[in-house]
Amino acid sequence: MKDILQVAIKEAKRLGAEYADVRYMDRKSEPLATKNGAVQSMASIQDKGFGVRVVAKGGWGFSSSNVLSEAELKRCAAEAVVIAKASAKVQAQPLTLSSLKAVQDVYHTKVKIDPFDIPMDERLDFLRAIDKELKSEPDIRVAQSSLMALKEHKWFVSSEGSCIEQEIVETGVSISATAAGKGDVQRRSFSDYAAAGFEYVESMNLKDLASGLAKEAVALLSADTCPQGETSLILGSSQLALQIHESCGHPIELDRVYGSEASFAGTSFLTPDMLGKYQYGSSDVTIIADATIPGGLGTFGYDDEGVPAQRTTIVDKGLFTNYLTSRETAPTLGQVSNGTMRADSWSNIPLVRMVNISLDSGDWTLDEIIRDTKDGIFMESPKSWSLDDKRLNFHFSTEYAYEIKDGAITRLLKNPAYTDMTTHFWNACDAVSGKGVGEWHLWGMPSCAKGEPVQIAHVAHGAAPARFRNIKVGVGQ
Amino acid sequence: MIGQDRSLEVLESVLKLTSADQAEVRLQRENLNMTRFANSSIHQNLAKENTTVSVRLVFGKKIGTATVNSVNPDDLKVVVETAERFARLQEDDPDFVTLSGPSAYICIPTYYAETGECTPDFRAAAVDRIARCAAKSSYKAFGAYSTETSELAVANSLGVRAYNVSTSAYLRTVIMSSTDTATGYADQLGRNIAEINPQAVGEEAVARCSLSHGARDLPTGEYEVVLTPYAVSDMVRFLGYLGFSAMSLQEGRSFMAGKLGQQIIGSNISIWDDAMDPHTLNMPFDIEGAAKRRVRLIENGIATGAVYDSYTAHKGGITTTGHSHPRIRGGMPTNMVMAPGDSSLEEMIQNTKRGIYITRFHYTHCPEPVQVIMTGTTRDGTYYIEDGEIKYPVKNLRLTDSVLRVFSHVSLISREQKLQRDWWNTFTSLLPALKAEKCNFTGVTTF
Repeated sequence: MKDILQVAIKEAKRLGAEYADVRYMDRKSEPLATKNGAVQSMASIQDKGFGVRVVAKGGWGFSSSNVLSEAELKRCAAEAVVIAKASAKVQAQPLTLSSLKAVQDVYHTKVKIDPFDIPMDERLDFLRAIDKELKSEPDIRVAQSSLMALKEHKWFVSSEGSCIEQEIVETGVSISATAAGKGDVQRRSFSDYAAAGFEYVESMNLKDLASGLAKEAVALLSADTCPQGETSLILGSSQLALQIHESCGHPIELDRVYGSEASFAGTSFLTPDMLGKYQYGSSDVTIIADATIPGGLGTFGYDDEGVPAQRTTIVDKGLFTNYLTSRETAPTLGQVSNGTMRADSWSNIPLVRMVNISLDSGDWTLDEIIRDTKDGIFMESPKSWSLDDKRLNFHFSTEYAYEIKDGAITRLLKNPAYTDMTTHFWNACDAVSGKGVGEWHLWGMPSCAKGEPVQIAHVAHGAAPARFRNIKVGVGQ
Repeated sequence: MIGQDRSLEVLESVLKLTSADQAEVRLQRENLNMTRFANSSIHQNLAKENTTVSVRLVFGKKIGTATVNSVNPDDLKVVVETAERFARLQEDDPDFVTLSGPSAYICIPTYYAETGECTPDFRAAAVDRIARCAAKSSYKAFGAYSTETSELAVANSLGVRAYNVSTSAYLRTVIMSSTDTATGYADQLGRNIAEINPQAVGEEAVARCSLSHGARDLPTGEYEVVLTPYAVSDMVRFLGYLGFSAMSLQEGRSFMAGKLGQQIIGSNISIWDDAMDPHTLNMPFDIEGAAKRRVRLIENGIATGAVYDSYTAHKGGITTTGHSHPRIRGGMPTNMVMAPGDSSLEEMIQNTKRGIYITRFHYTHCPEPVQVIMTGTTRDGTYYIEDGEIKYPVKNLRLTDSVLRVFSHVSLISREQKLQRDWWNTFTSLLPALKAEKCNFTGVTTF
């Protein structure tokens, strides 16, 4: 593979490129989904091809094709150079890339059970058994389950001498129970994914989880609506993972800070002058970007610029300390890339993407936080999310909530929602759990959208339940 | 381009590989060229080309599918074998009746050579024009200019043979001030790049940005609103994906479920889907090769109908409307049109006592689908209107309200319609501007 990919590198250099890299990706996925025990989708998707990225006259150019041949590699290399020269015509200054040591390496996800080794009929039986549990309550109208199996084999070759081969395997599930009755519809769901084999799915105890979701969805039909007001908000681990994703993960993408996503996804309130000075959160808030955590959906050996996976402190006891960067953006801060450039396919260019962005565990347990809360609401499981284009004002709704009075859970609440400003929210954090067994969890999210054409990244966020004071809840019912 | 003859030749070769009771093969080729710009410089610039072949095989009432991005005969053989294997693993789907039979479709002009042959230099020149437009006001330009050529060929064992090639061009920009948080937005979209005017796009966005300096706080609460087609597209999107699909109607999830024939929004609003309308991104057939039909969705505020693919059509005992979707089962609208009125944006402002002019929304979501509650913030040009005049720009606000409620209080509709993509790029619709008497805002931003 290395030799044929070099054809594009040589052609790009011959045509005047200052830099060139080629990525070949061969991705196989077998999405399987059931609804009330019947197959909704069972498909095999094979997707392979290459992309040539060049710098010529200081501008970027990229061209890709699904046909791997010497002729096509040369054609794409030439097209990429033409595109780069066009870019250079409308450019304030030539781009520069942070330095990078050439690497020859192989990386692969550690897998015990290759998900593709599980016969499809066994995978189907597995989901049908979950659907049965999800339908165990009479008021459940729709039970849905899906199973992801993905294997991505990719090669990266650059004009600087790097040659990297990686194999990433991902597995995960998403299940939900929808109840209808009493003039209402309520849904409970669970989803989690990891860079791991089928052993990850087997470890989840999904049947018990499914029957629990069914009971909760039915109970929500009779629950009171979440009241409006300002109160202490305790977020469960999965909701907090999404909160981290939206209000920390996106605004720390340095390309976004510089406006690269301005017309679509927006910019960021975290401008470079705030680096090292800005109190992003309270002293209980430490957030780490770590692409080396075993099993994370944001875990890899090297990013799509050939930069090694790294661990970077983003927020240190509340202080904003770093961004996610690339070889192009890092030099503007006097840094080298911290390795977060990823593309979702061979046909797209790499962008600064989240890796595993996690809130460090605190020294509380969830029980201790609840007992310590006189008046509050516990919310969990994402339902909807919306943020402004600088990631300041946000509105989240969750699938369920519990009211807390005088240190104890008093009643189940439906249609909960909360809204706040990012800066106030994280500074209002006064208790983070994680001391209890299993409270901190790394949630895999295979659906992070960014870029034009839109790219879907697979990322992860670790969190344990935490408390935030004086948050507006029950908005927009 | 692959072309009609070669595309259908590939499809015929695949059909011969299977002994399935029914077989459908789809070939899609996409060539996308996109130039993105930020700070008035091109920062991303790409060309991508891909061809996929998708196979759907039917054995009795068991269906298997598989996809590969190759036309290599060996790969095609494997994809057929995989689809056959997957079909045999399944239980009967009692609601499946048959694939679509042939339906005559009308060949309409969807391909424009100027678009298909657009060069990186052409797009760079357009970006440069917008950047210069911005520079006159000491602003910076951000955005994207893309052109796409798409081929779709469908064949099945019941005799469907369909081929179409289409182009589209899309230019959008956000103009930003470097001295404060003022921004302005504009875009243009069409099948023919000759209809895209970069100068006009730049000037429109610059004008909005120049009105946005010194934005003030506005208290939350209920206001009248003037919504440009950019903003209307994000509201119509929720109706499209939550309610207009036959599957959502059949399953009772749609806000129209049990309400067909009933008034659900204001009687001055009508929405239909018409892929043959040349003012839309028109398309003669869907991915099953079924001819696109005009479908009345809401007529004079009354819930009227939904769009169908062959699966939901057979279940409902009707003929498919040609709205099969590659990823979402059960039919999805593709070319929604909202009926024009007899007003204009200027008249809407003049008829507003105390209201908000909204250019567009950002990152909208639906916390409560039954009532179609929408939440999202405004961006790129939000202004306070008082006594018939735009008084001053305001900091962006969070709208949280039922789209059905807002559309029940529409008082004015513009005569001009605009071809518009929503923020999420879910739908492309032909939409007017609207003035609504009631709209609830629940939060404010700091810019």
